[in-house]
Amino acid sequence: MTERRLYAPWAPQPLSVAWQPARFARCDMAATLLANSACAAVPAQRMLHRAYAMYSSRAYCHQYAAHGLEEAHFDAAFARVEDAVACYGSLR
Amino acid sequence: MQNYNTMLTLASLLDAADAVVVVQNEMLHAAAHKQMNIDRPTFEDLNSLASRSLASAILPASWRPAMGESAASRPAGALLSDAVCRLCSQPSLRLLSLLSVPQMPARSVDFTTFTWPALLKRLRQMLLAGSALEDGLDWSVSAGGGRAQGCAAAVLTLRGKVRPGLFPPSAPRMRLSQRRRRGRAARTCPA
Repeated sequence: MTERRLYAPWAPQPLSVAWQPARFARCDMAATLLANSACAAVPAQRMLHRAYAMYSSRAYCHQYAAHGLEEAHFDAAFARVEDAVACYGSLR
Repeated sequence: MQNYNTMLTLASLLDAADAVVVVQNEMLHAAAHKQMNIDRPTFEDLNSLASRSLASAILPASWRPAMGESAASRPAGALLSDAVCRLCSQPSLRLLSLLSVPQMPARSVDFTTFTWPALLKRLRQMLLAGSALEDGLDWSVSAGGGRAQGCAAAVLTLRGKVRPGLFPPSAPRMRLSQRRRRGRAARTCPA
C-alpha cells in the first residue's frame, strides 16, 4: 500500500494511515480505504454518457420542467459534473 | 430517469460538499448477493452494507506516524476534517471511492482467521482494479500497468490488533540493518 507507483507522482504524502485497536463489526481485523482515485469517476462518466444520450432526445424533460427544472438547469448540471469527471482524466 | 437524477444530485452535491463518496448500487447489490449470501438483497441490505463501510472509515481512530516521522509529532485523533484535508487537497478532485475488507456474512466471522498482509493485499488489488467488490477481483491489473487507475491520495483505516511495524512498514528494522551493513563496511575497509 505504501508503494509510490500506486499514486500520482505529484502527491507529496499520498497515504495516511489511521488505526483503532477496538474490534469492528466482530471482526478481529478490518481495513477500509477511502481513495481519491480515478476509479470513482468511472461510474460518474458512464452515468453522464447515458444521461447525455437521453437528453439529446429530450427524453422525460417535460416531467422535470413541470416541477420548474428548465433546460438551463440541466445544462449547468451537465457542465458541472463533466468538469469534475474530466479532472480525473489526468490521473489515468 | 435514474441517470438524470444521479447527474442532478451529483451536480448540487459538488457545489455544497468538500468530498463526495461514490458508492454504486450495482456494487452493493453484487456484494450483498455474492459475499453476504443474500438471495434477494433489499435496499435495507444495501444501505446496511454501505453504512458499515462508511462507519469503518469515519469512526474515531488515531493517525499512525508517516514514514520518517516520529510518533510524538503526529496529531492525536484522526478527525473527519483531517481526512478530507488529506484526501482532497485539490478542489477539482473531490470524488472518493470506498473500499472495505473483509466482506463476509456475520456468521462466518467467528470461523475466519484474519491476517493483515492478506487483507491489505486484497485492498491494494481492489484499488488497482477500481472495484469495490472483494469477490471476483481482477488480479491481472498491476501497478505501473496501462490499466491501473492513478490515485491522488488515500486514507487507510485499520481496526483491530495492529502489530508495531505494520505502518510505517518496519522502518526501524531497516535502519538497523543499514547500520549493521555500514559497520561491516567500516570494518573491512582498512582505515
